[in-house]
Amino acid sequence: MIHGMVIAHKKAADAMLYALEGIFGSFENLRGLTNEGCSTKELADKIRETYLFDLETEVCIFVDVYGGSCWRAAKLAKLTRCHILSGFNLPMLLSFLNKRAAIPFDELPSVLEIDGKRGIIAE
Amino acid sequence: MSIILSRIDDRLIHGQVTEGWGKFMKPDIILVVSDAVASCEWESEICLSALPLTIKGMVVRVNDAPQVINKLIAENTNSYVLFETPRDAYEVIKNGAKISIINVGGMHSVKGKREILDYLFVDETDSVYLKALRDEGIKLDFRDLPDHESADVLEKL
Repeated sequence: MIHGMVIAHKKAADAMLYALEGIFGSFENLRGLTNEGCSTKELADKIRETYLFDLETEVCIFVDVYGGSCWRAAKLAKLTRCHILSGFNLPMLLSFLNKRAAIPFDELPSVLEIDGKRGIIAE
Repeated sequence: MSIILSRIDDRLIHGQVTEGWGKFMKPDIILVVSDAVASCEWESEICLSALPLTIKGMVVRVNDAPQVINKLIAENTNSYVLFETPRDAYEVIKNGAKISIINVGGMHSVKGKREILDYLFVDETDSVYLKALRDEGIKLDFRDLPDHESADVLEKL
């Protein structure tokens, strides 16, 4: 199974996963991390340590903003099989849960990007 | 103007620096002072990727920083200077960088450190160098964002 990790400032990651569970129901292998209480390098270590059991695990890391400290930590973690998606929203994460079993890992990010953007509608 | 922000922040370039401070002050260049980042081309690229397109970036080693900073001052280039640690800031100032005020904006690591503010965790080394900066006549501004109050915490170090 493709794993997922949501990394964001303050409590945003946990809040998003809490909301996600309220909509989707229970899910596995998608967890949250905060950058609170650690330097960027320490956060990178935490990310890497999560997958020490199998560094070949395919992981989509969702960060809140491109170029921020969460994004930089995801880069510094240097996971072997990893795609980073910046600017996550609920539609993107719902799409991840729904489609990760059906779409090959290297094709998934572009699908999730489209679904995330499709979820942004101004009226 | 020249050095419009000189800041200690272990996250270096991130949202608070470019957005939070950026809405008040517009640098032409952000100078990152870090031996670790400067010694790895890939890390330097990642660090500078976070910059908006309108701002130039440069990563330098601690030893090279005083000369680069003083050149930016001489050229009157609006600059931010970012340090990872109080020790790096102290070394750069001791070696001649003409900086008179340092914003202590983010020391986020909690491992083995004690909390002074929710964005400021220090250990003995950090305390020593922050006090040493004060003793060099540097004004320390403890504040994460420009529209927050500067905290009076020197005595707690």
